Amino acid sequence: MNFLFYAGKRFLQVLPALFGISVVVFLLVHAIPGDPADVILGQRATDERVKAIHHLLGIDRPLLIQYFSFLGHLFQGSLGVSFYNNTAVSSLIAGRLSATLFLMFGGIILALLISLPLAILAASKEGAIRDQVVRVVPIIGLGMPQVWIGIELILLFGLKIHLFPVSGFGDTFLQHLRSTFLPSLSIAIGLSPILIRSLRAAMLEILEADFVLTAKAKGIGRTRVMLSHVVRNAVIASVTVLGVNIAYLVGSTVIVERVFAIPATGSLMIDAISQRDYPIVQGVTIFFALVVVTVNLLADLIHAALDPRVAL
Amino acid sequence: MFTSKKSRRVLVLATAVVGSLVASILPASAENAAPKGDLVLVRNQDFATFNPDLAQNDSIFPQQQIYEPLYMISQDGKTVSPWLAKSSSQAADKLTWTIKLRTDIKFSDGTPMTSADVKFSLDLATKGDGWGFLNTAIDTITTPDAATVVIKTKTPWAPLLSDLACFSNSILPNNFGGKTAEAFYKAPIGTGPFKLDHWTPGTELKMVANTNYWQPGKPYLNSVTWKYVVDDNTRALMLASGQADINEFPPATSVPQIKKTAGLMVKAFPAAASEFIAMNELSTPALADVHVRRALSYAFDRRAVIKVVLGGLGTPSNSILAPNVGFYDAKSPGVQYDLKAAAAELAKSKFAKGLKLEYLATSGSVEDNAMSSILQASLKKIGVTLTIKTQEPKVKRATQKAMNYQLTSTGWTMDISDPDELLTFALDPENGGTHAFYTNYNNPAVVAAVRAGQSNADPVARQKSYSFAQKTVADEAMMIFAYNAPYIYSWSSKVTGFEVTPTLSYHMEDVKKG
Repeated sequence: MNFLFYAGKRFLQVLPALFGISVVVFLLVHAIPGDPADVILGQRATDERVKAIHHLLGIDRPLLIQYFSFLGHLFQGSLGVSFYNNTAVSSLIAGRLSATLFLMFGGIILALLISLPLAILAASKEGAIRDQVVRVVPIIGLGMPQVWIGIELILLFGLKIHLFPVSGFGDTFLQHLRSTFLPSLSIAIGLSPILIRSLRAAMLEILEADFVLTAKAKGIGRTRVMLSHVVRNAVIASVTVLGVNIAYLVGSTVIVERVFAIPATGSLMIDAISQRDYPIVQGVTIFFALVVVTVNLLADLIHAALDPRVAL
Repeated sequence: MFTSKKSRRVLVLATAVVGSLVASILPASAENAAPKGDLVLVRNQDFATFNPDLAQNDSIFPQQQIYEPLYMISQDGKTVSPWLAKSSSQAADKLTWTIKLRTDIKFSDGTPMTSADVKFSLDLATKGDGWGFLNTAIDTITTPDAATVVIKTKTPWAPLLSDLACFSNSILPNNFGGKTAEAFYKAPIGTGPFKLDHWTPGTELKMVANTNYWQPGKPYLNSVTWKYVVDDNTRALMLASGQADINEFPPATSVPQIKKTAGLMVKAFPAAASEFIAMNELSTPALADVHVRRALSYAFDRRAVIKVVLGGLGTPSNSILAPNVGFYDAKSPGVQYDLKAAAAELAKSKFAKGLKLEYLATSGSVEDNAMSSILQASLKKIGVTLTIKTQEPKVKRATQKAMNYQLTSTGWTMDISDPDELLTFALDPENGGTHAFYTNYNNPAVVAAVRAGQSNADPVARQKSYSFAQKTVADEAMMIFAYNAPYIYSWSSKVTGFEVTPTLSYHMEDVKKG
């Protein structure tokens, strides 16, 4: 009963947050100077034609009416229709979500595959040459622009070796994997330096921990201590770092999408902003806000289910 | 051998079948070889709509592969010739045009095109909020028979055939083929060489050959796909790797490199397009002074900008019209770069002691950065301080339209062969509806010349009117006529027959691959 009350309370707390987000997004989008009718009509837009297009799009109505119309559609599960290509925003998002997920998860997985061995290599002998090299070299990756990394990878693996496609997302699961390998690698190269540093620092700290000293005293092998005790604990600490860098990851994804011509949600948003396509900007923002709020709500509810003290 | 009647009948039947098969196959293989080759064109603009009334450059050129107009613009961009129409004649009253249609045209679904389709399409286009302004001269459209259309104009209207050649006057099936407009634009039908296969907004648009196309043997290609790729480098790499066959608008500065690359072609197609620097005459008393405007125009080093921005691939403008527009006057004086003349003009003005002006530039634009800084450097030498303010493209556009600027970059690409489209927009404040291209320029003699050019069918008289307009606005520096840039395309050497008209359309039915 307590859990149900807590779940209901948390759900009710979410509603004002969503309402607030919808108001802020709507106002921000409409506050940006620039007219969607100009994008549709181009240079030949006279005042008369602009008025006609405003009427067609419904943006000649008072802002409050437009907001309630937007809210009404939201309650019916509709994120609206694009001004620019007359397509439902929900289907535009759905069509690009898989590319976004491939890029984000691909980037994280490759970043971990790069970072873990290097961090282990560095932490296993603090101050040695290999430690110095691992500490310095990835910093170069951090300093290289994503656009440049992407183009270099395309030149090498796409044009010279012909191992991966130059651009695009492909049509099948395997093609998606192949098409998103290079872009994910560009994201990973940018993300790895931060992960290596945090992993290395965590490992060095854990290496000094009592339980590690005990394990060593018990005669457990160096490799086993490293993998079973140090790495496992260091990865947990680094997950927090990864979480904090999610914003960076999303930002990187947008740039990489452009370079590799991958149709994901980042470029959808960027195009919509430049085209003043209000329904898409609102729709994508609301969608991601909903995802974040829902994930947080679920996490709280799972936490409460696992630890009944939380619901008290 | 064949002794029985039955056997003979079988032989006769078999011969007839084989004969008719051979007869039907042979001419077809000579004229209608099966389309082959899948062509991919990469571009930095995302397709937006199949509604011709709301189409901009992002959508016009793909649309033209599905829909076709009655008349077609010529390869040099200056005239039109019959396309879905067979011929036309103008009555002695100068108001009535009789257009005879071709009778062998079918839409891609196999339905024959008739005058009912033409009337529906032109009426629809005339009512359009986007491009309907091109048809404002049309009064009535009638259809005496299935192959004849009679158009009556409100006043004598010389540009009518050019207007009919515009993509906005494309021929659609009567009443959208029984569908709603919304449903039709999702699955469009046209008479063009290709028909829609699929469209994924933000990604690609694919069309396949229209097997009912009226030009024998065309299109040659099996399919054409337009892919939306924003990044210049990525498009170039896609072409180099064979993932794309045509790259639309590679940067001009990359042309020398492309020329050196084996297997790639590059061409700068002449364009009916012009770049200008607009001057808002009512924003400050200085810009209402013709001597100041002339001084600014003299001070603008066009060749320097062309070198920096286009790697030399462009020409300084001498007229408000580009050289590939009908009635362009090569003798139009057009103020050119001359700093001494600029200083002399400024000395004649009320601002001889110097003045301060502001240039509104587009943020992130290489072209605008070059134009504004080159003008700024020149003006400094004659005592004019030019400050540069940058704004995001759509914000800048809003500022320009609100007339809250002094100087700003602007440009124009013609959609028809006739100069009327631009000249009315830019020089006739009343009919153009944009304060004369947002400059507040108003010269009644020029307005009269533009209107005379519209109504007079005699080409000699029209040239006289338009030459007067071009000379006058150049002398009065209503804008700084900056430069004419070409359209640059690069493509694989496997592709042949690819040509672009000055109004930036291409006939994909003529393109072959492989």
